[in-house]
Amino acid sequence: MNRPLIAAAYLLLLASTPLCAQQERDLMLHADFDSLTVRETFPKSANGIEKAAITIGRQILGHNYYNPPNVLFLRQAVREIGPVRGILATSDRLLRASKIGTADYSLPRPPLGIEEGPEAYTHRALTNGSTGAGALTATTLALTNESTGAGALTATTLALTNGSSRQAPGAVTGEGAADGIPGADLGPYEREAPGIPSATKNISADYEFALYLIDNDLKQDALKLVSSPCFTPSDTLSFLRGWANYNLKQLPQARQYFQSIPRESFFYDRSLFYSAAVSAHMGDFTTPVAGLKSYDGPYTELRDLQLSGLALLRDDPDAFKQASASFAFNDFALQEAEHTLCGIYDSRYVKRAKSPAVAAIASAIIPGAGKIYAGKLGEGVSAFLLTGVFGAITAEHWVKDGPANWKTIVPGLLGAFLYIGNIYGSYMSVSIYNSNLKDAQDTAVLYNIHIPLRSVFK
Amino acid sequence: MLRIRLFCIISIFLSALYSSRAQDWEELAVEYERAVYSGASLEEANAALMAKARCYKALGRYAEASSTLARVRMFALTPEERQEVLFQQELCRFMGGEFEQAAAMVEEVEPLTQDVLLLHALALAYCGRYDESEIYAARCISWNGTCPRLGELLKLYEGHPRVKSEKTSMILSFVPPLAHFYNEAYGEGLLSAGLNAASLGLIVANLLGGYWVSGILGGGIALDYTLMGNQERNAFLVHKNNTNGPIAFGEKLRALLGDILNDYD
Repeated sequence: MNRPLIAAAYLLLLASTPLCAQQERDLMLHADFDSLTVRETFPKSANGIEKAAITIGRQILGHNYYNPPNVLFLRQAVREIGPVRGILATSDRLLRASKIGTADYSLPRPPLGIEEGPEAYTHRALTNGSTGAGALTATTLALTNESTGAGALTATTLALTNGSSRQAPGAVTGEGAADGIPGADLGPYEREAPGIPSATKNISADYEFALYLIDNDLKQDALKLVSSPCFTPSDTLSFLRGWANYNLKQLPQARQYFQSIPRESFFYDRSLFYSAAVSAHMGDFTTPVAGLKSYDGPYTELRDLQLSGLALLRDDPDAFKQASASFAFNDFALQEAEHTLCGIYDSRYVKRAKSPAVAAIASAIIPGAGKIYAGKLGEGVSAFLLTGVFGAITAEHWVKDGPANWKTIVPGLLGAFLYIGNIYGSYMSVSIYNSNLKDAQDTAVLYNIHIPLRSVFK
Repeated sequence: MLRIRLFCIISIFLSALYSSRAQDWEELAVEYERAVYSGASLEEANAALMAKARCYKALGRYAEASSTLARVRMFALTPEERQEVLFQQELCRFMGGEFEQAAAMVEEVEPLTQDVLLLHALALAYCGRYDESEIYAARCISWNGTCPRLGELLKLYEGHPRVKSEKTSMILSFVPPLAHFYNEAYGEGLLSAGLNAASLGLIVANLLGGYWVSGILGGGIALDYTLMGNQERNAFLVHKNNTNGPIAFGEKLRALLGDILNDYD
């Protein structure tokens, strides 16, 4: 019975949209699929010799294991970290750029390689996607796995109630609404539409709809809805805007909206804690502390959890001890996170870190041993094989032709470069390992001050 | 009752259109979602989802359009509407570069219009199924009777790229530069052959000179690098050819079909 009606409605729709059949055909015939092709180009900065070296390298190695290719890396490394360290770093990289050497990593499909510039040989300069991340993944997982279930748990044992003085969702206060934030960047959708009357509707009517959109992974739609200028400013609107931005990982906008919610608002508690978590994710470990310390609501253990996490992120063991003193370890939603934070504290401040000097000495005695000590088995084996072969060749020629013969000197020099490069690389690997371990721990801390919020405010 | 239903359904679209100033596709999409959320009947919800998918399509967000269409309850549609939804899904997948998924829908979408035939031909061509694509392309250009440029189309298909076999390439790569030649990389093949010959030469020269360690270890490592590198390189070249070949052919096919269909228009 309804079919003619649906057909009529659909016809109306077709008439109202500019995409008619002809345009669909044009769409098919003029689509751009250029980005789907596999392209293999030389870096723009490469000169003729470097291009030739890259071409030969592709034949010898199969593909570039690392980006930029070794020959460009050398130039860049000499410029950025000096000639001696640059040459040693390149030697170390040559030992690693093989199938065995990259066995510890999951390689991107050729022609892409592992992104690694000279900054990989400096402390604390690694990004997550660069070298070393692969070796640390297991650590990160080990630190976070224990807590992964927390997000799915309900906060039934919390027995926390909202204060009766709090206003109900949808209540309009107008105070602290993010529309009034000076200089606030309100995200990609926030713009005035010409000819649209502003601030004429209350968001209360759309509160449930906005949550439905977010819960059903229609986050862009949700942001579009709550960013409409037709809504009157309110705490509910600010919270929804913050929540939509937060779900789209637009953290600066989310933080601005969360922070704009006043203390008397119904949404204050969750905005405060989410704002603290978002600030921590943005690298601001200090600003949220004052807000959390002045908090006197019902979620005091959650407050202490976040304060202790922020203390770890600030590298402040005393503040951690102070904040974690109240951990009861019996709250279902928080206990995993509390245990994890205490574990991180122990491994960071109680146990001893790996020593770069030990790695260097190990590699000096047995090439590659320092790499294995740093947790990079593939690199260690690769270094041992190549350095060992050059050593054996040099030894054979030394015995048969004498030390002054070019047949001894050439492999000897090459082997020496690789040997010293491996010692340097092992030293750096452990330094980077320790640095990355801290990064992984920080990631775990961020995770553990964040995920329980989902359970507490479910 | 009939009038009430008609009014109800049309009002969804009108309210969506007018509340969103008709040109803002994102707002329009939200309004259609609101129609679904606010407890629309099956028919209304389906119509709203189809409309929402069109909005996403207009925005170029094909993956979202496709997932929106996947939410349409097919059992509540007429066969014609079902075909339209499936066609739109195939189109969105094709436009989103998901050629395999688009081609997987060819069996489901009946070739009732010239555009469906065109889409089938393109989707199949872009994932390397040239024989099937050829049939749909020929039917597409012959929609209004025999096409005088059919021969041109058939000639294009005769020259379609051959799918390279990973296994063949791997076996050939043991004898450089055969695998490179198989993958049509002649210059690289000669370079690889030279490098492998040099590695072999290193082994032989050292062994003949009595340098056993250098010959076996040094030459062995060098040969390992050049031979294994040759194999890995050819595995990549197969992947490159099998990815780029159908896309390059598809571009040529689109140009030709566009030209022929324009002639008709």
